[in-house]
Amino acid sequence: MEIKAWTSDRQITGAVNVECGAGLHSAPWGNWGVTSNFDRRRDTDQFRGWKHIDGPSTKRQWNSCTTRVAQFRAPNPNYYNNRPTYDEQYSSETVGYGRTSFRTSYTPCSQIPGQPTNPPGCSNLNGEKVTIRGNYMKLYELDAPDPDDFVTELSYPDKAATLTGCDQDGCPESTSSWSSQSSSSRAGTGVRADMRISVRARHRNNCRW
Amino acid sequence: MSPVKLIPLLLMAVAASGAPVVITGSLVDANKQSLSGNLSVFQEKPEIAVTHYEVEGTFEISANSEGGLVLHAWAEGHPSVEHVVESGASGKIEINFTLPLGQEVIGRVVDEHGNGLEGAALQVRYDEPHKSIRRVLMEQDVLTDGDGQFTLPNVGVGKPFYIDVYAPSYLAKSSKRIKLEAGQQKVNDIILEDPGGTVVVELVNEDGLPVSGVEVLLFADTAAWPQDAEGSWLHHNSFEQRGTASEHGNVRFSGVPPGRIAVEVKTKDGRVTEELTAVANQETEVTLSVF
Repeated sequence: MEIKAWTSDRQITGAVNVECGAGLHSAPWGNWGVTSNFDRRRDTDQFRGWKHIDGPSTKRQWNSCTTRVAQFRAPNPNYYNNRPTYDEQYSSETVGYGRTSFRTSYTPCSQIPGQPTNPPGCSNLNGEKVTIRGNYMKLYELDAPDPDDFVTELSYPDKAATLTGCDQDGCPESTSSWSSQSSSSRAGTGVRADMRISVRARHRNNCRW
Repeated sequence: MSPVKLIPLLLMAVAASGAPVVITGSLVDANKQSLSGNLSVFQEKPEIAVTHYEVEGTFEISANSEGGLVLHAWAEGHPSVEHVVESGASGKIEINFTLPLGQEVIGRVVDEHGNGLEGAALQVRYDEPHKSIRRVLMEQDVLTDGDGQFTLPNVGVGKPFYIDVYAPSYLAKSSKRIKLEAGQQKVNDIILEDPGGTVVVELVNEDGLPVSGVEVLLFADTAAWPQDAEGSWLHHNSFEQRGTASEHGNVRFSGVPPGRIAVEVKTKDGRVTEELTAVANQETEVTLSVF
């Protein structure tokens, strides 16, 4: 069973000042990663922003110095993208930020009985609800090789998706509803995002993921 | 060594019915220092659920062990550790997790001539002989680049492991057992040289004409394999490949382990299955009639 976590409608409307200095980094722009209950933070556009800095093939970044330095403050169409006021940042696309896989109804390889070439598979998962509890995202502005900068932690309610359309081979992807964050550890940052999960199952009569 | 940091016990409660169990424990590094990390509890009954807890050194949780539980502990900079709670466990049990230090590992996958193999998929499998294979996977496959090079993130120092390799046109293979020393990044090349067998599946309709665009599944007939690979992700039972019939009604599979193999095609009325024997370094053909 594979569970993926997604965000959409990411926004920054408050004070975020984690990329204001000089040095190796490109103030005020920052690429953000997500540590969550699904995954570690990675340099993979996990919390996708809106601004390409080095061309369209690169990750999209956020203005990560919104109040400390005058030239980066709102309103400014170079550093904010909400029209026509240019005083907030948003990124609406749906982006995955983590995944977890686990085995259900597991039989160790060495105990697979005689003729399992036609196993029951995933048919009996039809209608099963899959619930994920304790959802959170810790957002960081990535600064490798220096330590990453913590921005805020967003908490989310339990999310559930119900598997349908399952057959012997598996269950197609089912999605939960979207939820806004239920809290932010640094509310003044004005960082928001909607999140949901998707779940799919695939039958494997073997020992490999 | 500095003393273990004292952190107040974190009390966590989840409505537990069915087979209630209270699990207490700790999360420490290899030097017995308390860790801030994560604990994910996977349950199958009475419903499928994953409950996540952030842990500061110690934990106490209530859960339902009716269908068994898988506890998965992890922290930044450390590879994960897993513990299985058997179905029906009750009362109070203690599980202490020790997470090794993690570091990057680099190496290459090459053919018998030393040429790098691109697109080989790798996974780290820890040598945990008294456990069944892990139930939870958070890390995705790592793929080799054009020169066959790979970088595996967050591999445990001092914890023996194998690198399992899956490459097109070769039999899956495990590296030798490896144990990293602190600071060691490079591991020996992994050489793939056994191409296994080749199976060509031809699909025809009731008039003997080729059938295209249909998915064909090839998988090991597990009944035929010796049951001697406890804990290995590379047991031959694991073999499975999918392909789609070409305009000529053919699908070619390579890197097939020698032995009993099943071919399966879904049809509108059900499934058509044919069994055959794959032979090393040989091509085996099979024709399926799909109506």
